[in-house]
Amino acid sequence: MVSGVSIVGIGATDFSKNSGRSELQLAVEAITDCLRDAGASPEDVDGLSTFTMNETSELDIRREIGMPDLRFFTRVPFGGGGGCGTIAMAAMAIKSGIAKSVVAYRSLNTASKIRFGSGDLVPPPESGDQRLFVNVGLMTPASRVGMTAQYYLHKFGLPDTAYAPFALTAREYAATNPAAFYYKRPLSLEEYLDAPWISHPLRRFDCCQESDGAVAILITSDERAKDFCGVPIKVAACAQSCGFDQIGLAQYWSEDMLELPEIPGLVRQLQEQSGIEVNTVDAAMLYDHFTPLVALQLEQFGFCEPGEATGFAADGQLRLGGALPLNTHGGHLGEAYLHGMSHICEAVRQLRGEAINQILEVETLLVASAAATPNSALILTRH
Amino acid sequence: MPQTDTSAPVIKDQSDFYWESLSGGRLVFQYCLSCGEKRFPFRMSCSRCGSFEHSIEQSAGTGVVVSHTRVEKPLIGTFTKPYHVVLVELDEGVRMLGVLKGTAPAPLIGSRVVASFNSESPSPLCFIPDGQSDAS
Repeated sequence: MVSGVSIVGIGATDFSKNSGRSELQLAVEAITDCLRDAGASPEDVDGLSTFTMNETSELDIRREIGMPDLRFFTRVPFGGGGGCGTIAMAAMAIKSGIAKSVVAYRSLNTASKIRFGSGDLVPPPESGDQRLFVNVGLMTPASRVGMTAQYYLHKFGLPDTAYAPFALTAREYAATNPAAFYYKRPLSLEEYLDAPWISHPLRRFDCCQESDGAVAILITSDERAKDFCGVPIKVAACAQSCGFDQIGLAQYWSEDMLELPEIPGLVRQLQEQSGIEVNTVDAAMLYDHFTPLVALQLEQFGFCEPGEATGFAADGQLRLGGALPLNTHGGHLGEAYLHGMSHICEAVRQLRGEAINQILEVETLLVASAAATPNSALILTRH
Repeated sequence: MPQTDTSAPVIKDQSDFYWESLSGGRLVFQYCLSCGEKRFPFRMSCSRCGSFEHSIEQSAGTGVVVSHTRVEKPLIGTFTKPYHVVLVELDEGVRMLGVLKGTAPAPLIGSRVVASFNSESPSPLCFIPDGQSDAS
């Protein structure tokens, strides 16, 4: 149980396709922005939490930010699956008394440096499951997900345009968000259909962007939250979960290959900690690496029945005023790809009541990191 | 210090045997000697009963397409043009990945395919639609 922890600050850089700055500089800018947002000084922070994939060093962050007493620093594995896990690590450190206030952050130049979609991150196929995929040409996340997405369409008798509403909805939200790469650029169905195939049935705009930027989030105890300016947002639950026989982005050998094997464990923990039924939250920020995985998350978190998620999106249920406003900043598809950390920031803005696309009544929010990997999630609420 | 048995084969990875068999034109999977579970990908222990005891079984190489994806943009040199990857459920009850060969533009889920070990393919395992030749 981690109740008693709040998010008191959020910060970010601009999001772009070519930042022209190092990932260290981006991280420092985002953390500085986060501390400014919280009304905090470097002396207030004694912990850092990030991704194992993050390429900046805690040594450099400490030097540049000037934290005099950095006593807790940790990293969460499994790429985007670790996003909410960085908050969970911070919460545990704070609840245990090891740290007072922790900055969770992610900095990446995935547009200008290493593009995840290029296959550049593929290790030499010498061992493990990676060899199975590389040897048949499934080098990228998109190609692995294509296999699953095709099966979903087949199982439920859907056309290959079924995923379009997820892309169009994300771009609607992004079009009014000045921070978004696709600001003022909504996506029409024609543009969606005209875009090149990536790996069938995924078209270009079914896939998240690759972006440069950084995000930082300040977590502290409810008691200390009073020392900072602004409205603290309660971390009502935080959880990590690794599914049995889980293979990242390719559950091909499960009896049901549409299974997201980490989701039941997340749901159970989130409900136990918060007392909130996960599928009753007012809105959600779900990791939108690929539109078909948004569909599977909506179904397996219990917002829709199996096979109904694409219809749910087409009915406008993910828009403002719908049953479940989703990724109101535009998400990875519309705003920028920050490994899910920008989704946490948007949840905080919604609960503070300062989002660009503000939901009128929102008390509880689900944030989930990269589905189909060993994963993590949060329930955030107002105090 | 325990004695190291230098005569034992060095296992770099539990799936080595699968890849070595493929290069010899044999499609193999594991069979749990404790509970009878057929197993692929190669693992040290059985995910159903936990036993490490297993035998290696050979597949006839026939099965049905479970799903597929056509990758439009090749990313490494050995794959030079768009190609179709298929997930196949072999008749023995295990699933394997391969590259589709043959003239069919797209495989239908549920259609029958046969394994092919044509060394000219960039993939060590290919499948061809049932009834087509391995000439393409």
